[in-house]
Amino acid sequence: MQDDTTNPITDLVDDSDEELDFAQEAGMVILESAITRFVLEADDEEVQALETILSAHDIATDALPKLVENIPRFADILSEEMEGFQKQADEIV
Amino acid sequence: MNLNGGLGARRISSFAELRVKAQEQQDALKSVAPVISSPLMRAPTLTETVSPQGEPAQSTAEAPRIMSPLRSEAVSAEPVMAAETTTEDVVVPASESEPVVAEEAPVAAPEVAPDISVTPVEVPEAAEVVDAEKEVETETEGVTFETLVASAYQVDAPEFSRAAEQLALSLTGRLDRHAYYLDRLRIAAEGNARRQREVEMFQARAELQTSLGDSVRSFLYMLAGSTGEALPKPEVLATQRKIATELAGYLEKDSERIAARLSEWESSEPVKKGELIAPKEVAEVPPVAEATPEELPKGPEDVAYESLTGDWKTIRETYEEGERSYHEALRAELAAQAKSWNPLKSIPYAARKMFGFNQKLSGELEKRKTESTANAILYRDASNALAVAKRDALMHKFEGVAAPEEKMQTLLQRHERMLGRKLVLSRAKEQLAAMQEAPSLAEHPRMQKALEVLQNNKWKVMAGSVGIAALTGGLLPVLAALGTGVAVRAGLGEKIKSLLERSKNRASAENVTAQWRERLGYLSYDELLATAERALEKVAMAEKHASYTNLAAFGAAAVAGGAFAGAGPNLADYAEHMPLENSVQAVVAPEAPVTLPTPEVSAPAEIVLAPEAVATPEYVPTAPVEVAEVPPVEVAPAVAPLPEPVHMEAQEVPSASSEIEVAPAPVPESVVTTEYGVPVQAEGGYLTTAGAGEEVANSVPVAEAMPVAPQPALEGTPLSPAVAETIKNIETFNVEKPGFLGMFSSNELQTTGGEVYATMKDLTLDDIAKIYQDPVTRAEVFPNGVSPESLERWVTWIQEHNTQETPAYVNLKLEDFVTTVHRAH
Repeated sequence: MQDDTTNPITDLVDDSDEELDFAQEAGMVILESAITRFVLEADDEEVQALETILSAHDIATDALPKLVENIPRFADILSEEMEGFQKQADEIV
Repeated sequence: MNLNGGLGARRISSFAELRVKAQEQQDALKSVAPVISSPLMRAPTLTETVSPQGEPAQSTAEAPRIMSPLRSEAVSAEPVMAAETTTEDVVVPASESEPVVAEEAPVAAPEVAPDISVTPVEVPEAAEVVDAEKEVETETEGVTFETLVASAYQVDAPEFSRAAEQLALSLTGRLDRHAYYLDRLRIAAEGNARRQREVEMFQARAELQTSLGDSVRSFLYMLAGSTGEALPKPEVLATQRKIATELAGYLEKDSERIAARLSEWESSEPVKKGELIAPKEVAEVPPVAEATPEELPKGPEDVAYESLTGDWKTIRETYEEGERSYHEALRAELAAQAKSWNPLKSIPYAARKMFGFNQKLSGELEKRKTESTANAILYRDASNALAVAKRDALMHKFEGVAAPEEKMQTLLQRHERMLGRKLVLSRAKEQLAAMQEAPSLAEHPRMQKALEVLQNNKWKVMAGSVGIAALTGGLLPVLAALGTGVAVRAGLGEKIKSLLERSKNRASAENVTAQWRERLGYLSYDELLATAERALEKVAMAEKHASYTNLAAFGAAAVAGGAFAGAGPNLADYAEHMPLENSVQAVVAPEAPVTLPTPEVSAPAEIVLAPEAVATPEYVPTAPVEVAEVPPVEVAPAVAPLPEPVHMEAQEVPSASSEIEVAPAPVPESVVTTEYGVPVQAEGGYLTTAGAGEEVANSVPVAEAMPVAPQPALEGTPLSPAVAETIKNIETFNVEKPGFLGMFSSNELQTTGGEVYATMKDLTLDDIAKIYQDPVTRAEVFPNGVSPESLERWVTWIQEHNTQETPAYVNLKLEDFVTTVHRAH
């Protein structure tokens, strides 16, 4: 029997990448829904603020906290979308 | 959210449950059919009385049928089976392994020397037996298995009870025949590890088939005794009928394969002590092609899996239809709301509330969503049950080889998580698409603005963080932590921190989004378990690696260029006394017997082995079998090594000298002498130089002119890039395709697909020789390197399997292998 380090079954069992894939894909759906809702519901000034922050942060790991901090409506919508997604997921799995 | 939970409740029986049920029914059978407990029950073996048709037959009137220990009953003779039993019983002495016609065929002495000719006896060839049995059954009262099946489960027909009993008997006969041929196959496999492994697989399948057969028969007996309300429900009857039909099909298919193997093995292996074969009949059997993965025999575990697969597909279709219906209704309602919209004005609240994942749905939509959710859960459970069935099948297939249970269980849990995630994401994405594609809204400036924002920014980079925040329950605090200092981040769990870091790293890679899109939905159910199966095969290969090295010592030594590091004592003797580099090796025509140097003489001599010795690893010579009458040649101790083997036929080898070109060897008429006094073959075999009498412009020194005897099989074009590429792509190892099991390690064969067997089979001998000879070519074919043992196994395999099937390999013998490899070094 091969060691676990070379056992191909081990690779199949290890789904850590898959976990990250799922988180990112779920995040995309949530974010897309939140931004869509936000742009539809917010006023022009808020939308402009959103664009400004996003454009200023190409390395966007910093953009989200800025958005949450500076645009309360976006923070609320994003929070709702995350909760809604989580609730919906709980119904199925 | 529980995306990492254990297996959900199984609503569909797994194969393991089927086996338990079979055992229960088997127990019940004992009370239904008293004859089961007959003291006459015993196991049929080949030492017992058998019929010439290969069936366990009636040795005396006392035992109508004798059952295998794998079966639990003895069944009294019924018309169908009686017809299948032939009248000519045969008796096989206890020491014999084959049935012999009792009164007419001579029985071979228990001790039969391998080289003693054996008197053929009337042994039916296996394939013919199968056909004959079919004919007998077909002709018996006009009743076939199919008609029995049709009648037995038709409980409103008057004769269903009798048909059920006869069907049970018919299945018994099939199982008996199967067991008998399996015994014969086991005998034919004796002494050959690879064959024995194949027999073990057949045996394992037979045990499961027997178990399932017991279940079917117990049901049939209970059915035969049932009336009125006690009769099973129609759906139960339909299921049982299906299982019985499939079982018969699998038995038939396995029997045909066993018969084919019998023909192949009994015709190829040398006669063993106490074993009788019928050469004529065997010789007429065409060679059996190697099974492809698609043709692999199926067993009860496959029956259970496939049975569940049908149910699973139905449930999946129901789920998909429910989801489609729900989203159609959602779109319709969004379209209705949008009718009143003015795209140039603000979006009404009624429409807004239907956006996002906190939708305020109408009662009808909410109901559809709830129903679809229920279908999704059912689909998830059915998938898990199917995965368990597949796990069972894999565990059995690789029993004792690999498939560590714990890992397989973890694999199932991963499968469940994958499926759950896919179900969640599929619905969410469809909802989002329905929102964004709503009529009028899609053209609304605000919606276009939103899409523009998404498109123009690195939103994808944030996605991982959002997803992690949502899935871990951290929500906004997690997001906020991203913008704060280390102190705050330290409050996050290690797992979240790790995920966030990996998300950030991944986001920096290019084309990440495209990769995500491609991986949408992850591995499917089939892909995951099919991948697991392939992985298990590789593990099995690795485990069996050691046992697949019959000729490893010899091959390793030869390929290593005379190192003989792994050689056994005899080969070590060869190395010590007569290194191949310093020998003058006799090279014979491809059809001629193997020629090897002998350690007993200082000059090369010809060792003649029986032809079958070439093809069977067990016949690696441990001592010269026969020394041909080749004129002895004295070679001085200081003789210089020849660059190539020298053909000795009809030519006297010069006496001791390190300079062969000055040797006064007699020159045949067909050989001309060059200006250097070198004999050159003017026509025919040796050299392709100028004809007799021509100037010596094309003449060469003897060191170049003498060496190579004609080896047609090794001549040809270089290894084509296509061939090399195909070999590189070899991927599959299949334990049921033993030729490839253990030949190469997974590292040696890096992988992406390709039809292994066909490719290897089509290689010319020249290609193979070039792989051995030329290190560059070898590196081209095996970029990661290849061990001498692997190469040796390859040749062994070719000799074992392909000499009868592939013309290109007919002439490939150990001498070629040794010669070519030796020359390479």
